[in-house]
Amino acid sequence: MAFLSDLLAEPVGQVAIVPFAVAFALALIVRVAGGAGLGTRMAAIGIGAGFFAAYYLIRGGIPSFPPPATSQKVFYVAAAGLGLGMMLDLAGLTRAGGHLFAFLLPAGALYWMRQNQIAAGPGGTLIATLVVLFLVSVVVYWRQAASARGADEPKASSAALFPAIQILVAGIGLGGIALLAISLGYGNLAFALAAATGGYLLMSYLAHLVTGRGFGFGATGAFGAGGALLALAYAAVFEADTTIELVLLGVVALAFVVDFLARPLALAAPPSAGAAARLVQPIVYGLVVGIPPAAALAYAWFALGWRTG
Amino acid sequence: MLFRSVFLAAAVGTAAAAPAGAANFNVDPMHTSLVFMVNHLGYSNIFGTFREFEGEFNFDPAKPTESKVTLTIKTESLDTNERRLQAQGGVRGRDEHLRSADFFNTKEFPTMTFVSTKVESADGKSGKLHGNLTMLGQTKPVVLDVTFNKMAPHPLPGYNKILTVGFSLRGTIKRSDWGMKTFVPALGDEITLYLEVEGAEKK
Repeated sequence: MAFLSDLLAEPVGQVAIVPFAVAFALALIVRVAGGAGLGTRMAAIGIGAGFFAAYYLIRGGIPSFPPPATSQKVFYVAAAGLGLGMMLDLAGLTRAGGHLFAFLLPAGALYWMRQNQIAAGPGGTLIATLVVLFLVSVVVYWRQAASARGADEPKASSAALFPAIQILVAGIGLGGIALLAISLGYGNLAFALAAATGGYLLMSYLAHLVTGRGFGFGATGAFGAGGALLALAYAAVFEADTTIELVLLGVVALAFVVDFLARPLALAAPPSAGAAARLVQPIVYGLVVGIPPAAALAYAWFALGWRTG
Repeated sequence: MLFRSVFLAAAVGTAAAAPAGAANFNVDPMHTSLVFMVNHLGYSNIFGTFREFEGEFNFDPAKPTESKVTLTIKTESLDTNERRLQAQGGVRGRDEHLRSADFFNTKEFPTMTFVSTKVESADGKSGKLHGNLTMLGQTKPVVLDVTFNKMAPHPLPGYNKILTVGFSLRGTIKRSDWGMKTFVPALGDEITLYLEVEGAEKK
């Protein structure tokens, strides 16, 4: 018990081990309990659960409602995304609902997170910021859905892992930029999200290697994990003080755009490659979409240094 | 010359009796210090202050329990006397970090306020000041030990003998109660408050 309580009190436990373990375990449980259909679509609930477990440990509890601070609104925006995604998957409305809420969810989240500033009379900078964040969000949700296209077919089965890989690399990028330059709190939460995604992804990857089919991502993953990532990104943008910080965050977001290149590259292996292709394709995809976040992190590390001193 | 004037005025002021009756006062920012102390990794304690604030209170030495206080502090005015420049090595200074969302979140919460709710005093010289501190959008009760130092017309020329009163306040709070949990417990959760307040009667 002492070991467990020590683990829960340590940053590495809160930010990495706990979210990873929770997501890993829950993805397996949901997949087994839900079966090939619903279980596959909703296994990504593990990411949300891992993130919220980490949030609870890092922030010391669930924030009060209504939350006064942006960092606390992140929790509820992420929760709304996860809840929405789960409802869409349960109702069988993943596609139709996904198209609609890819616009409504970011619009609602951005409005709520800047509600006071909007009510006080938004300036041009705020309006421009909100518009850009909205457009980026739509692109993120679009690429989340598009990257998994064809995952039901053997030749593109690895695509089932691509949305989670996007979240993983973008989460690491966002976490690193925030930790180095913006906010330790947001950095820790982004890393926790990446860790949770990693736990889910490992389970999905293993299933993919063994059975030829990974876990789906569904609206649960797109709005749950993607929604949490975007909520953290919004908060980081609002907190950023300098232009270079905003530019670096924008570069991280390019991970979702690079999907245009990464997906065909990763899936270039012929179907005859079989198990070897299943092994390599997700890695190739991750390496390519990871280039923008890695570049942003490298610049932040070497050019900016550790700024949250 | 000035030093001798201050010395003589202080002697005169000490001998003068405090006037009776309630009076309303503005907090004098020139002679008020709001200082906090926080433990740093167990090595030492760091002191900080808030440089911009405004407040008012009413006080009757005969009825101290009827006193009321309000104080509004600009969170961005915090100052921990750190000398590292932001531009030096590109490292964000401590004060800038304290102003960020990790601590005081001054962008979203530009002020914090204290509003008294009750004063307890058995002897009229010392007691407890109860109030609500609103910080980071959350309001929690705080109790401060308060000592009434002196109340008398200001002795220095140029002050027109304005009625002046002074208090010393001490207390501790846990910043995590207001949701400020970054680095707890490495950076102390318990914050010690040292408040020295002077007020000048409102005219």
